[in-house]
Amino acid sequence: MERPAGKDRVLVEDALKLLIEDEQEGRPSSASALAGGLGLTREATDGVLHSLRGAGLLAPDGDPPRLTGDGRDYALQVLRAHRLFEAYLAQRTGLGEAAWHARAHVAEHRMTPEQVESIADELGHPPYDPHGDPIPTRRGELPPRRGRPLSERPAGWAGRIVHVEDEPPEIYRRLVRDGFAPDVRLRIEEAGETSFRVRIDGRSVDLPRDAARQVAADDLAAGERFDETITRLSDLAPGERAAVAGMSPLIRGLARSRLLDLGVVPGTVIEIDFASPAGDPVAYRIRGASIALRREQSDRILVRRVSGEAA
Amino acid sequence: MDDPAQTREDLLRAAEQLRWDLPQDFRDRWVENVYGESARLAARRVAKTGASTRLAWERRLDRFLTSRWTGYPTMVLMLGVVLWLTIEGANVPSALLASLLVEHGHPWLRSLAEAASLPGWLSGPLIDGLYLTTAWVVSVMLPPMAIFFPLFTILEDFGYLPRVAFNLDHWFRRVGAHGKQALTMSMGWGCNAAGVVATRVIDSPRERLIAIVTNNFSLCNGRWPTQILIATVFLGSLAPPALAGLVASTSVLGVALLGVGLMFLSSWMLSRTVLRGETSTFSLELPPYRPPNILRTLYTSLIDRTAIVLWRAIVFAAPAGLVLWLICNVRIGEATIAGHMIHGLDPVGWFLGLNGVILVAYLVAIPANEIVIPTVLMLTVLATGATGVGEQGAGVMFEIDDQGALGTLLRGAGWTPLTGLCLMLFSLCHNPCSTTIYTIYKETRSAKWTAVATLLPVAFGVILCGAVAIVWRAVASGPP
Amino acid sequence: MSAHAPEACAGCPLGKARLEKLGVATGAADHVVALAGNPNTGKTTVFNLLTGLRQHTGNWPGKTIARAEGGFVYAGARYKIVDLPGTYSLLSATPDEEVARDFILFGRPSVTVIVVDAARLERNLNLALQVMQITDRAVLCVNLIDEARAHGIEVDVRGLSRDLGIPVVATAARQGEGIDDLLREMHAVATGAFAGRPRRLAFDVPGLADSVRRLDRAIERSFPGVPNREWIALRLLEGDRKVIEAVRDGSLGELAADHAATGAG
Repeated sequence: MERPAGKDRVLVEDALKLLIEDEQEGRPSSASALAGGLGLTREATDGVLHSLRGAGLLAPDGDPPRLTGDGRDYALQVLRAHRLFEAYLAQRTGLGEAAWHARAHVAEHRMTPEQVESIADELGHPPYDPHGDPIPTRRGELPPRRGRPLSERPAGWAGRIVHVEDEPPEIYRRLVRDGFAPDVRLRIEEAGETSFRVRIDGRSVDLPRDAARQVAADDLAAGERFDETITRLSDLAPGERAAVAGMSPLIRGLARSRLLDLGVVPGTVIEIDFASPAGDPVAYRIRGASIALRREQSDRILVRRVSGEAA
Repeated sequence: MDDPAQTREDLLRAAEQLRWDLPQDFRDRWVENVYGESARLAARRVAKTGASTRLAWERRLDRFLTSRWTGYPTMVLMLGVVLWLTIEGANVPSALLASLLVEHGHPWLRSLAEAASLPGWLSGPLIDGLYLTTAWVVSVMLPPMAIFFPLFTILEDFGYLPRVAFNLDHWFRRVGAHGKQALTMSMGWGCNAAGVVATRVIDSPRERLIAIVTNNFSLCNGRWPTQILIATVFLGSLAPPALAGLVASTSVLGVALLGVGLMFLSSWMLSRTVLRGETSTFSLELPPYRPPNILRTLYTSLIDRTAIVLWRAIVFAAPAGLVLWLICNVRIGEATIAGHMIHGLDPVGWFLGLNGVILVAYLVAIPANEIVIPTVLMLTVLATGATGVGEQGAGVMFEIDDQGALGTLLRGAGWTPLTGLCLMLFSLCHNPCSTTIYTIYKETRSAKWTAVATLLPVAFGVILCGAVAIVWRAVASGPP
Repeated sequence: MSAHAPEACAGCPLGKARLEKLGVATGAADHVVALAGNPNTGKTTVFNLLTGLRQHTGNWPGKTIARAEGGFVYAGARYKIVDLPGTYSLLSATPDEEVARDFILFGRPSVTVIVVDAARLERNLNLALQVMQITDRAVLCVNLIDEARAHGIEVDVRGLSRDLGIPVVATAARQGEGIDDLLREMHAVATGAFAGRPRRLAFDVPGLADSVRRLDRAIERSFPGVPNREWIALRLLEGDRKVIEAVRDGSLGELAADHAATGAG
């Protein structure tokens, strides 16, 4: 497929991406919604739509704009580049969640198909991006979206997060801070009209309804039960001992392997050794060594309290 | 028979397909597996009679060195003690070396040159320029380094530096930097180039750049002598002789701590502007304390650090000595080249609370910070025409080991305590030496960041010195 | 601990009759020794002791990213010894771990000495087991045995050697204790006089064992005799680019051939 270059490429691809996202979410598309999404005037948007039609990416008839087969293929490849790049940033760099979207947004228009494939190879062809969004395959197949919004679940329901929407950024930052990420288990303690109270990683978190809507979750696997004994390493008091139960998926890439290599693996018994003058970081006794960890990390290390001597 | 290359491709394809079936967390489970095996082996083959692998004193010491109340004061005190030992201890051997190399060695070489009837254009640059600069560098730098480096290495080998990083991490995180920057900062107190190389311990490129750009705020060994000398002449001399060393080392400590403060400030500024981003994670093993092997420490720090740094200083000082001799003796019109430069830079110097002599010295001393003070002295003599000090004339670098005499000379040249203070500040905040600049370029591979790292401290120095000078003069000229 | 210290040389730390330190002047070496280990295990002290060099390294990971090299002569053979960066593991893609891992795999050392802290054996064996996945020409150096004793810790060196299937030597490198034993075992492995049969880890990770087994057979077909098939299988599953390249261009086979040749000689 012949691809446009430069600034045109950015506009064309952004428009395609917005249109395919509408299609996937089942939202109706319109030229005015597109203008809002692209941050353009109606006239400029019409210009973009015109060139899309000219390239055969959009059906020739007017509003609402509809993607052709070629348009859908192209759009899926842009989506693929964006989500793969986010997966790459998550796994291979120390960049935080908040920085991914903007960078992926730039990279998706710059990468050649070969570069996209090379990233896919390097990451082992992940089916989902770090938010839980499906990554279209090279042939444009899309793994199914999973789960239902948390806001539709009743009190007492326990499940597994499958997707966390990364826009709007303020809500996403808050969700990340509280530990929401694909694959995390949670239980709904209270489901109110305006807000939810959710048990996640050993803590109770209050969630406004509009934030709960951004999180999609599935039932737990057959036979799996929500583990009430889980707590966070950062909640450990001096003198207490705890065995590692696992790490939140929010500890990723290099940080995760570093911690694994230092002995933060399930079953390892940890206790507080001593705290720094400011109270953070804290040195933990891990397999015979003192390891200093910041609170951001000890918040995401899941443990179960144990009593007495280590096994 | 199959094509081997094809078989290998099949193998790779098989691996790619099997990758799909692996559990997401297989890497976690694999490390868990290896650790499980290690634990089983260790349980079988290690017999423990003690309850813990940590001795009670280690635990107590750690609590003390990292506690809320004693952690920070201990760090400042340790640095203070190291500085005090360096200043007090270096005096005698420094004077001894100066007497040997400068007071006796230099006239002896001159008389030798006269005896061999060497022409002035040859003996001048060689003996009065090259030899004297080198001799000065050796006598003023060798003793403090020979004390400072081993002390520092002992602290390092003992395992104290990781605790410093641990104590300071909170504040580094607050300014958007990495806790291990504390390690590179303290390496910088030895040598900024070494500190820049040491930033490799920081994984995140953003935080590593911050550590590189701000490393120059760690006073390096080339600048300690300047600080020590000026502090002794202008601040130590205000106190009774018994306390002079203490006052001087406290003021040097103050400048060093100001450097730490500026390092935090500039890190904060960088991480809020051009190097914006999330702080990365931090995990650091706090190694067990190891009683340092004193003899080995002395040996390694003398050979590895002192000798290398000194050699570098000499290599740079020798040609700088030649240049100095030339600009002080080659005339353009009425005055020497140095005279023109000093005259031209005097207004800028005045604005910064300094003078043209100091600025010219810093230009000449870009290759190595170590030669700033000797250059200042030589240029001062030239500018004030204060000849007749000993047998040496203008344009010759000489040692005034009596610090009273040094003070008299400088005050005679119009130096005030303001000049001394601003020189100490400017010595803290100016461009890194050429080796460090080159090292920064090698580590960052970026001309832009090299330029930032070079110019940022100068900007700080100009602002700091300018502000101090304005306030000082306003207070001095205001109504009593 | 050094039960076989030569009586003729009771006063000196090493059997000087047999060890000649060459510093950095390595020249053409008969054998290459790789020195691996966690940070803070006294690895550099062992290096300095063998080569007579005075490397100084700080006690935090990542301090030595470049490798230090030195040489010595032992029992008439010239050795080149390479001090690898101190790492906790060989699985992460950090620069220091890549240096260490690539050297053990592609640098084809005649013997890899894994230095561990006797008082933190459980933690340190993690790296040792990973090294033993890559190469079976390994010697375990249980260092800081003096400190361990002070902590009331005794290590059953013979038992550990039986469990691991490689020679295990207890040393206190700062005191020079046990270095003679270490040299002897290194020499035995390097010359092929001792053929280790390192313990391989059980792959009891669900889904992993099966995949590794299937790749293992394919690797054996392509590279008969390669000593670390399971490890290579694991790296291929993880998508390690260097290993993938070595499979693609067949250079992995040269490693196997090389291994067979020196193993026989």
